[in-house]
This record gives sequence, C-alpha cells and structure tokens, in this order.
Amino acid sequence: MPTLFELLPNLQEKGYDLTSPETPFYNCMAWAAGDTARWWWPDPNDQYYWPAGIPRHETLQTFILLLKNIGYTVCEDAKYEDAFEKVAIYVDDLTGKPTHAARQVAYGRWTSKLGSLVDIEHDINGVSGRRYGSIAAIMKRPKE
Amino acid sequence: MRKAPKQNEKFACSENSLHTIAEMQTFIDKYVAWLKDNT
Repeated sequence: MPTLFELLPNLQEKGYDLTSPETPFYNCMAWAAGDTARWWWPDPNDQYYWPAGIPRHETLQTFILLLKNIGYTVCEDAKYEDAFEKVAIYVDDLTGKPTHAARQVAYGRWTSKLGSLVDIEHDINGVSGRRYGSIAAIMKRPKE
Repeated sequence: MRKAPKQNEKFACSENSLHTIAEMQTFIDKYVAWLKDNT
C-alpha cells in the first residue's frame, strides 16, 4: 500500500503532522468550509452536497464562486495575515479541474483533508504535485 | 458491487471511497479501534 510520501512526495521536504484518523464523512472542500459532516463536491448526479445556487460544474470558477458565497475573496498570495483565514484551491495541471483545497491554520501551516483519508497539517506546497496538481487560486476572509 | 478502493483512489476529493456496506463496516471497525487507542 503506498505511503503518504509516495503519493505526495513534496511532503518529504517539510514534513507533515497527522491530525485526524481516516474519515470518509467529509472531504477537502467541506473541511476548507468548516463542515465535517458532509462531502462537498459538484458532481453532476447530485450525489454529494453542494450549496444551492452554485453551479454543479467542476471548474475553478465554480469553486471560487462557492468560496465567495461563504465570505472569501480572491487575494494575491498565501502570506499569513493574522486577521484573515485563507484557502488554497489546487487544480489538475492537465485538465484545469479542481482537485483539492487546503485551509491556512497558522504561519506557514495549512490543513488538508486528503479525500477519504486523513487530515494533515503541512506546508502549502506539501500537497502539490502529480496527484493534486498546482495551486490556482488563494482566497481569504476575515476571521470571526 | 465495486471492489474495495485502493489507497491511492482514496485520495480523490471528488469521490467518496465508501461504496458498499462492507467498506462502511471496515471503516467503522478501524475508526472504533482508533478511538480506543487515542482517547
């Protein structure tokens, strides 16, 4: 069975911390939005949760629209800002389709739910690569 | 019935890996074991 390092080799450089057991009840977009009870994805068959009014299209624009709907705006960079929380959206390098999202939790640290697997804390580039592609957008909203 | 997902398939954020009752039961067993070890 492949290890996290084999599947996400960039984690090797700066490491990661395991922060949850394996849980299939929510995914990265749910985690980024603060929901641990539902699986958020705009699948065309309505199998998973996706907020009403947001198109069920697997595009970067749709994911940006979703995050705008919960208070985020597109920002310039991933630099830590004490008054804001940030989310990074990753897309496949070939198709441009969203693959993953991570939420900033502290200076230089991001939290990710890896599909149906575990939550980890990592460097922002730790999950980039062949599996989740590259960061296509950073968004932020004021902390509550 | 789908076969059980491989570890790398579980990385997909676009598709939940639990498709069968057997997969759900396996997950619950592992989750309960994790809770016993970590609480």
